[in-house]
This record gives sequence, structure tokens and C-alpha cells, in this order.
Amino acid sequence: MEAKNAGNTEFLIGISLIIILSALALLAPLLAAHDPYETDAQNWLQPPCKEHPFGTDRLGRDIFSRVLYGARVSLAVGTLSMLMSVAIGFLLGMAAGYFGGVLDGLIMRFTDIVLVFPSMLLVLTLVAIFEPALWLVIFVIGGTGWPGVARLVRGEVLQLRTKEFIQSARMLGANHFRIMLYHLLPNALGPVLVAATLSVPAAVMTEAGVSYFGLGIQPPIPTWGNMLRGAQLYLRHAWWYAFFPGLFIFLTVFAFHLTGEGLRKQLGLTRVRRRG
Amino acid sequence: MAKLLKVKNVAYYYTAEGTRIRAVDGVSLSLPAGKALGLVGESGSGKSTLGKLIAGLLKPQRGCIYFAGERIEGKMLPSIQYVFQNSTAALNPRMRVKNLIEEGLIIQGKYRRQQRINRVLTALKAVGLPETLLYRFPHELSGGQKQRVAIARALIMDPRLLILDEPVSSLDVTAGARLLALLKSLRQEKHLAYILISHDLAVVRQVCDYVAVMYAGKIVERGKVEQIFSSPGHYYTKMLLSAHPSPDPKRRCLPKIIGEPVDPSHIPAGCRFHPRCPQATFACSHRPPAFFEITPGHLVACHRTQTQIF
Repeated sequence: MEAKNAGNTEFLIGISLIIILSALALLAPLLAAHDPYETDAQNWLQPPCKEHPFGTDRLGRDIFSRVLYGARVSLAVGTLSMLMSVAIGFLLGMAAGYFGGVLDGLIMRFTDIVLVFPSMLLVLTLVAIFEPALWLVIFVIGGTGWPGVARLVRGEVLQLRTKEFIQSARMLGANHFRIMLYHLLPNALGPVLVAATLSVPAAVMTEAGVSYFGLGIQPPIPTWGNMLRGAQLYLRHAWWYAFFPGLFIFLTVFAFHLTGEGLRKQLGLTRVRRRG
Repeated sequence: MAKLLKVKNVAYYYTAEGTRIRAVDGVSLSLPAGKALGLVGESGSGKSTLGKLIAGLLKPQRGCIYFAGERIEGKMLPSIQYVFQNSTAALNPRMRVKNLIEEGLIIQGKYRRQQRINRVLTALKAVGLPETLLYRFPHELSGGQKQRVAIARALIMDPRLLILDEPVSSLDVTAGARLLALLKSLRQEKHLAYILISHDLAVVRQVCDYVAVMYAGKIVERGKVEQIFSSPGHYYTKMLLSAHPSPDPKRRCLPKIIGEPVDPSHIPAGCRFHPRCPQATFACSHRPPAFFEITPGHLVACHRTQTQIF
């Protein structure tokens, strides 16, 4: 038996970090002292100082402001694609687990097919075909991230559907929709919450990776990934250029993992398998 | 009297690990409106399966079930409600008491919000629960309270037949006694018919008008409560009765329980009980016994009873 408050500290640290990061992103226009697009030819590659707490980049832009604006992109991609994965995964996993039979087979084989596509590769391909844009990145990461959720939900539903409270609802005349919405969904929510939390950092990393390759959201819009790309040539001369975007990627991933793990322990669940 | 429920030669088989299990194998019974039938037998005798067949949770492979004159095999009617054995598993852990009880009304969609709440309060009162529990979750209730919530959930559908699967087996003695008293008064108030599934004869004796004793998927004896308890015909019934020692020393000479319940995948030929029956004769291991009416309304399926009478 784990202690009753197991995971509490992890959860609290993680969620506070998430709140701070979200606040920084949302309040970017208020907190940033400089316009993230404003170049300053005189002060390029300035080390951190009072004026520019995180230094300036090769065009003299304020890195602190750019990191804050970059947080907006990263968190938007992370949360929106997570919501999309959870929605698709829930729908398909629920249908597969509840109705079973042929439908279950079809859905799960389709899930396996999607599972073998590395989302990074798919983003790269689609971005090469279409114009790189924020919504495309969100759609592709969300559209390939759901198989884990679908499997999880299916497993939960398979376990729940033989429970007596489901039969009891059927006795009262509940239809499939009602049973799924009121009886299965709330009881399958716990593990999905953990998986959803852990899928956010995966999406953040994928977005940063794609942007780093120069195929994601395009400059001059600041994202942590394309800032790292810009910093590549100056690693030996200006450590702050790559350090701060990297630090924020690290903090975000760390915060969501901490929260997810804390949640998992609090809910008393066994380790959830997730996709990287 | 017109019968509310008629079960005719119903059978339910299922396959587990390659062997066919005959859970219920040709059972007939009937029940008038407002009366209570006790279904007794050891674990695995098929009494819960029979209850689920009547409730429509399972569909029989053979036989008919009539309710108020209509065939209902495999159909779930609002007027037949089933209260599950394990109330902890039968209540959605994420719903509050109010929503649990209200659910049937919401599904029916006949009532407005305020009417529904009034009916929930009435049902709560009927099962003897205070209103303070209305917004509790099942895990915040005691075993007896959960069982009452499960009954209220069924009662709100205004059933004519309530099937109770081991209603008191998970409760301690006092909570069980209070629940039985409640069941008795509810029955009179609402003119409910009960089928009470239990392995405990004392429970059946307190609540029921009729008793059917099941063994290995068949009914071996049925009759009125007084008949079964005062002059049990089947040796199996006598054995079950002996499990409850009577305070009256004159009646302590009942036989002891011998043998193990039959393996449902290897049901013996002839009378299913004969390997355990000390009075078994040659006929018992070859011919399944037919029902024999020893006194009006009291039927026994035993070769020995017939020969003793003649």
C-alpha cells in the first residue's frame, strides 16, 4: 500500500510549474520588456544584462521576450494536440471496448497502423507538402497521438463493462449512449488523465524538434525549436542564445512529467505506457 | 388466482473452458402477484442464473417466461427489477446517492426535475434512509445503506416484481435483520412480489410465502413455507434445514450435510442428488424423478418420497 498522500509533492511542484509557465505565456505582452520582433543591430549577441535578462540573439532581439512568446506556441501545440488525441482516443477506445466483436477488431487494427507511424516523420512529410503552419503541426501531432489513449480506454472499458453497475443501469432501461457517458466514461477517466498529462510534453518535444529542423512554425514567429536552430552557429560564443530556450523546453517537459507521475501515484495506478 | 409470473421449462447453458455447464436445466415455477418466493440452494445450484433469466439479463436457450400474460424471455421490463448481490459493485462509484436513485426516472423521461426529486425523497424514505445521505458517494456509505440505495434505485421504477439476490448475505446480523423487516413492510405497502435468492433458509422463512429448493440447475422441491419447513420431502432440503440448528431439542435429529455440491460440468444421471443421498436406491441412479405432490401445493422430485407414500 502506498501512503495516502503519495505523489502529492510531485503533483504540487509539477502543477505549480505548469501554472507559472502558462501564466508567463498568457501574460507575455505584459511581461516582455521588448517587442520579440524588434531587431537592434547595435546590440546583437549581448550577454544577459539588466536590459536583456536572457541576452540578445544574432539580430539583437530580446531572448527573454522571445522565450515568453515561444511558450505560447509550445503550450498551444501541447495542450491542443493533447485534447485532440484524448477526444479521438476516447471515442474509438470506448466504441471498441464497449461493442467488441468485429468493430473492436477493426478499430484496434487501425490503431496499430497509426501506432507504427512516427509522428515526427509524418509532420515532416506533411509540412513538406503543405505550407508549414501552427494548425498543421497541432493536427498531425494530435492525429497520431491517440492510439495510446484508445488502447487505454478500451482496456478500462473491457474491465468495467462486466461490472454489475453496468447491468444495473441496463435494468433501468439505460441505452448505450447513457451507459457510455455516465457509467463508463467517469470510471475510465483516471488513467486517461495521467496519459493525457504525459502526452503534453511529448507533443512539446515533437514541435520543438520539427521547428529545429526548420520545418515547423516559421521564423520570425518565435518558438523554442526555431530559436535553438538559430543558436546553433553561436553555441561557442553565446551560451545564453541556446541555453534559455533549452531550459524552458526542459522545464515544461519536467513539469508535465512530474504532474503526470504525481497523478498516477495519487490515483494508485500502475505505470502507464506512453509514446515518446 | 392469476399468476403474475410463470416460468416454463426454462434452461440456460453456457460453455466454460470447453465444457458445457447446465446452469439452469428445465425449471418451472409460478408466482402470484404480491407474493414472495424464496429460491434456496447451495452455491452453484443455478439460483442466481434463474433470477437473471427472469430479470431478462440473460436469455434462456429453452423454455418460456410469462409476465402478466406476456412472453418476456431476454427482455428487461421496468416492472421487474433486480437487486444485485454485491451492492458495492452494483452502484456506480462516481455517482451520488441522489443521482443513483434518480437514474431510472431520468431514463423514463416522464417527470420534471421537481417531481423527480420528490420521488427520490419518497423512495429514500421508503427504504429508511435519512435525507442527509442524498449527496454522498457509495464509498461513504455502510453495507446496509448501500443495499438500501440499491433497493431504492429499483423501487423508483414502480416494479411489480423485485428479484433480490442474497440481500443480506453481505450484512452483519443486525443490519440484515433490519433490512428483512424493511423488505417485509415494503411488500405489504406496495403490493410487491419478491423472488428472494438466498442460501440462508432462515431469511427465506422470515420473508417468503413459497419456497423452491434448487439443486444442480433443477428444482427438487417446492411448496409453501410452512410445508417445506415442517415436513421437508427431499433429503437435500432436510440437509439444508439441518444447517440451521433448531432451538427445539425434539427437532435436532435432522440429517447432517454430507458430500460436496455437484460439479455442474459432470451432472450425474438419474436423480442429480443420488451420489450424496444416503437413501438412494437403484432407481435413483437411473431415472430422473418426476414431481410428486405429497400434500396439495407441495411438490417433491424424489423417488423415495413416492415409494414411502404408496
